[in-house]
Amino acid sequence: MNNDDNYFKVIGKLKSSKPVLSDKEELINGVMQKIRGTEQKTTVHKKLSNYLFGWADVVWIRGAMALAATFLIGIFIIQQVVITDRINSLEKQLVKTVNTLQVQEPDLGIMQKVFLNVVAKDQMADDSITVSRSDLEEMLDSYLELKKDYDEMKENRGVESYIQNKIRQNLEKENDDKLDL
Amino acid sequence: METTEIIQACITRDQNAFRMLVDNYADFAFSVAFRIMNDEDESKDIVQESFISVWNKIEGFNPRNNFSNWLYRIIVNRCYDALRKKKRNPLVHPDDNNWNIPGVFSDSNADTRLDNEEIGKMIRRLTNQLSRKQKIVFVLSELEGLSREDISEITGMTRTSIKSNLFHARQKMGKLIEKHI
Repeated sequence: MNNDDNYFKVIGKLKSSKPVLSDKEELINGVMQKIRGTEQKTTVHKKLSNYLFGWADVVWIRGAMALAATFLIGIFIIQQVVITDRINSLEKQLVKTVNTLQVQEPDLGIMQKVFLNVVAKDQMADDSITVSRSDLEEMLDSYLELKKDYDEMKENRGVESYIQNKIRQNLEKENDDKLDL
Repeated sequence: METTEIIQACITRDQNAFRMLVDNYADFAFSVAFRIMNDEDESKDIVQESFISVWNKIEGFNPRNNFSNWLYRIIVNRCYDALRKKKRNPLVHPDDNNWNIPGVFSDSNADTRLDNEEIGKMIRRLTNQLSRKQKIVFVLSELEGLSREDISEITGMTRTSIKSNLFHARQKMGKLIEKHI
């Protein structure tokens, strides 16, 4: 008898000999008992979840809740848009207010200037300074006036020689004081 | 009552119908589990757990599909897990080296059926050196007589993998038979 024959004989024998289930009824009863236990647990769970969330099965409540949720989401979106818009407009108003303050009250106290610097800091670059148009015009007028006075003084030589003499005398006096020491 | 009708009734949580289903398939389920596990008590436990699993999952089962293959899959998965646990804590069978089994090789009593204990011993000895996959493929293919398509559907293995596992299982068992018989 060769090896293959032995193999097929063993397999054939095992195939024809089916294992027999003894105590079949006991096994079936065991299964049924366990599934009844599972069912009871499931029933309690179902009752509890029906009590808590059963309203979600009512069609009109579900529809109303969905509608309310959509409404709330809509309000939230609108609120976000409005708030962003208002923040932007407030920022613009702040810049305008700062400029207005500079025009109307050029002689601000030190605390007000500090406050303005803090508030308007974001609006300015680090190496820049904000000058109002009225200040600039005032500064230019002062400059032109000074220049005009200086030119007039330059034309009047008597004044020039008087100034030079005064400067010379001051220098000599300073030299004498140094020698005395 | 046909299987499809019984399954339909089980889907509607009819416990009497489920009892009929267990009654119809308990022998088949035990046979598969025993051929894989080779132990009566373990096999009964697996059969019970498998039927409870069937009860819990039957609502998702399509009655037009093959129920036997679905049950096979549940049992085989349970057996696979049990074999994995068993590998960690292997049971010692003192007579595993005794190959003298009456009725297998003596022609005089070729028609004698083996009892559960003898079947268990024989399969255990033959499949002792097989991996879990090889053992399952061997049982399904050689003892249950399933096609490779069915085995693939039940185990989720590819046909190539089934072919390769079966080849190695046969080779190992052929060597054992040659050595001991």
